[in-house]
Amino acid sequence: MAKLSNIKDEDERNRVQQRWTDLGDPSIPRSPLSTTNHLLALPPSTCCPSSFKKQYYRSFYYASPSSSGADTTIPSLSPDIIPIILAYCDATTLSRACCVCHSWSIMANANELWTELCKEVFGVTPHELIPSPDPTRVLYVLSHRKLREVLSLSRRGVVGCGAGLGGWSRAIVRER
Amino acid sequence: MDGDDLHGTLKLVSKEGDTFEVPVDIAKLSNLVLTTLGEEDDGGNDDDDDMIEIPLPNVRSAVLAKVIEYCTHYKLVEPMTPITTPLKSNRIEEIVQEWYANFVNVDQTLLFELVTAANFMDIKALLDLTCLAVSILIKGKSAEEIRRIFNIKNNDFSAEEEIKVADDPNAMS
Repeated sequence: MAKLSNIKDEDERNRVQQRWTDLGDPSIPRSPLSTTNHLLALPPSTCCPSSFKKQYYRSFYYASPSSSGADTTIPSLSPDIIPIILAYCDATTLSRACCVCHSWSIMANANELWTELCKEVFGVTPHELIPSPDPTRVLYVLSHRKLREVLSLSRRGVVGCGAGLGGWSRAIVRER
Repeated sequence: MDGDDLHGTLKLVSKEGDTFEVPVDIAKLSNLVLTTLGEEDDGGNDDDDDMIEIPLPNVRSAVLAKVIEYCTHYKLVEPMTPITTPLKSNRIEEIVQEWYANFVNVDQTLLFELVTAANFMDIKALLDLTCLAVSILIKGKSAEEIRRIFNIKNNDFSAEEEIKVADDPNAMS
């Protein structure tokens, strides 16, 4: 509590204490930059739980990315270039790209990309289904699962290739 | 479009202020150059003595040299096979000619700078090639590895979204 007692004004102390509480509460939207400015005068001390300290350092880290050494040598790409890169990616890479960050998730979920992949890999288009699956990515995932299921049944001799499977048989032939 | 100087040379000026003299026909692969030349023509006020100078304030000399090397090869040796999706192979050597595959076999920093330069100078073929190279770079990588490659500090998903991503029944393993 040594550091906190340095703040004479009790209101100020309460305000700072509230800040720490807010930081630990995920329901309160965080703004790393502004929070950091408030806390600059108050380094994490023994009075703060370690999770708050971590938060403190993280927000500080956000505020000054230029201080992070080697990272700065990698030039960052303009956001309008990312879709061009994603257009060349396979389904696995695209699925992982969905988990990179919010903006990547929107770009990697684009229906146009998944329509192309569905056509290329499984020979199906979303328009063949009524209603069309939305997002189109769902169609890819369902096709992928269905194919695995059919293949496993086929291996156990339950169904033969092309036995009334329609469009699926094309994909199976390709898989083999 | 009948002026002789269209077949002459022009100057591209890099971030560092280095000047590169490039034949107009080669530089015209860049839509930025093409547009700039068009504007100069419309203005009709260019001095005949002075060679046209196009400043490229965000392209480093080393990167500009590579871009010019690409354009020169494209114009004088062989144009690059257009990259079309779906890709017919996972290997860049099987998608474009060997020279172009070797051209993008550079370290990540230079590759990213080439992407940015191709985008800025609006050279579609080079942008396609470099983006293809980046897509091969991230192929099969985890989200964390992709973040590292693109220098994305942290995922900015809200706590709610994070749970959604983790529980997504549509996510593929």
